[in-house]
Amino acid sequence: MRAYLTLVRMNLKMLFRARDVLFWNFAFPVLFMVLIGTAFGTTPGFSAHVGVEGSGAFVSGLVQALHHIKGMKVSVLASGGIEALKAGHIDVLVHSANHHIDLYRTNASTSQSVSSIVLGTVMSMNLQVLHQPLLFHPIVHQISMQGTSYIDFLAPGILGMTLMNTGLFSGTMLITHRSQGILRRIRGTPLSTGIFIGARITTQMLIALVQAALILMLAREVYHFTPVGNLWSLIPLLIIGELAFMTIGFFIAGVANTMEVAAALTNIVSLPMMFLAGVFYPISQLPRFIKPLAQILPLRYLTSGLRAIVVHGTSLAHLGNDFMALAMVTVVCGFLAIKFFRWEMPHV
Amino acid sequence: MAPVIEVINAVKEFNGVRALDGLSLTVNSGQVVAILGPNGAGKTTLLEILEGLQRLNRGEARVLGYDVGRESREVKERIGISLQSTAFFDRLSVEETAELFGSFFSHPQDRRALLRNTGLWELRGRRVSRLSGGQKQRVALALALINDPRLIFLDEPTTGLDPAARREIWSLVERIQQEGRTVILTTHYMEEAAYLADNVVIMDQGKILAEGTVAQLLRDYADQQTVILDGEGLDYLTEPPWNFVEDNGQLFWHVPNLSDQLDSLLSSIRSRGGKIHHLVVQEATLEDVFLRLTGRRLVS
Repeated sequence: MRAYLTLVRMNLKMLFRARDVLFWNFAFPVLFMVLIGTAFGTTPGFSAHVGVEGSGAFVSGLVQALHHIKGMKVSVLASGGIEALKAGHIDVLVHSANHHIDLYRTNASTSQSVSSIVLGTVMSMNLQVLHQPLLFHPIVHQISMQGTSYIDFLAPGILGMTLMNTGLFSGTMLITHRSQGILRRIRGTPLSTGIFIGARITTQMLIALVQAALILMLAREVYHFTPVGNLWSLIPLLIIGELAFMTIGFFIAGVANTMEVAAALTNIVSLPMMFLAGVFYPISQLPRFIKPLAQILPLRYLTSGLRAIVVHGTSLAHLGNDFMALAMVTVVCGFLAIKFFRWEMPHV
Repeated sequence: MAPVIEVINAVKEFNGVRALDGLSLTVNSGQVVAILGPNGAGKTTLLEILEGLQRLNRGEARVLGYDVGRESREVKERIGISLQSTAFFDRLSVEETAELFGSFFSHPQDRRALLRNTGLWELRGRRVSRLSGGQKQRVALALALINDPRLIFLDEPTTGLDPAARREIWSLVERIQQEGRTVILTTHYMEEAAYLADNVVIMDQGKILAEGTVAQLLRDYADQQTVILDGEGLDYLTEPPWNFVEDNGQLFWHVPNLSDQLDSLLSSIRSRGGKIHHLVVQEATLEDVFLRLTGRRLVS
């Protein structure tokens, strides 16, 4: 027990002293999230541009009223309104002269909806002038629809991808320790292999928890991601997911002799998963012939499980399939990792 | 007292090549034993068998009374090892490394006292990656002592070190012996074996060719001195009965009981009108023992 705790503590110390490892574990997922989140994550709000030609009480009243509508930009034009409309610089043109009001709109859909807004505004201006009370006055409520914004999809996807990449890397790190002779030296002590590997896994689990907190917090604070599920129930899924990818990494470490070979093998494993396992877009959007392949990718079960909990609030009890799939990967790769485990490079 | 190490007819093969070929060895408590041999002699394999890192194909090996094959955990708990070219975790400090390795044993010794005794106290906060080769080797030696072992294996503790660093390691090894521990070390430096060892074991091709104190080995296998001459009119010495060997303008004469023959050599040269510029008499070394036993030099 003392050996296990000391190993975990020293692993963490080493982690915080290794800038490259820190970068890949924490900074990279954050940067990735910011990059993709900023590019595609936020749904643009309403924005429209109305041009007004003319002057007088009507024009100033209209400009004032339209100014109160969020996302609406109003410009008073001296001339050239039709040209601006045709060129797409404005969505709707209102021309007022001698109590004659013309409204010009185009066949663009924004123009159609903006013209309705302008007409509605003019209508309420009329009622105000007539001092007529409003008979029908609906109160507007806005309800957020869960799972519709891209960030809701992306955040759990990036979390799954991060767990995969860092889990695989942490598993293959055994190669470095082996080629440096550290494993051989440790083997000369009474320490059991199980405790050594167990401490490695534990360290990576702690890292995974921090990664999850970091990614979900970033998504919430910056991109208005609102998780609905019980976030504590993420922990068992994080653990089984991390285990699955670490055992794949340990297996690779057993097969490959150098870190370079391991990196190549890791890419063979991780690249298809990045693009086919529902990280950036749903599996349902994949071409039909690839879908069966996507079904056997371990990451697919991790992302779908994470997404189910975070976005849809699914309880753990209903994620049996995802758990079973990841547990199977862990058992099979764990068996292979043990079978191929080597303390040192083969004698030449 | 039972021997600390007992090896009987040990055979170890790697892919059909015999690294240990029916080797037997007994080591008693408190000795420093140097295993001397060229690369590939099987020194490291022998050590790894005794450390529980490799298993014998045939034969028997007991360390501190335990069978290393079946009771390797018991053995590992009680021995100290320093491997050939070991690395430790680069990003841990010396003291953290000692703490980590100490945690692997049931009864580690106090690491602060250990660091003081091995001259590492000043370096305790330094990262392993920033240590020199000699300092790293001292860390390796300190870690070999972390469990306060009665028996210590050092595999080529000074290979690749400069002479000053080598001296430091030597004094550390002497100190370890003074504490009553048994030390088994491998080396291919004969001066190291001569300086440190109570007993020298000469190995080649997986077998022990000879063992004993340095004095015994010299007496048994290299009871001769070498006369090195250089001068004028001495060429006749390469012929019988003198049989000198010429090499690079110098004449070499390997001769037992030189004191009996020096007189007749000098009077012979005088009578022939030869002239001596330099005369050197070299004592035999373990190198000569090795040459005699194998027909090859230790360091090529």
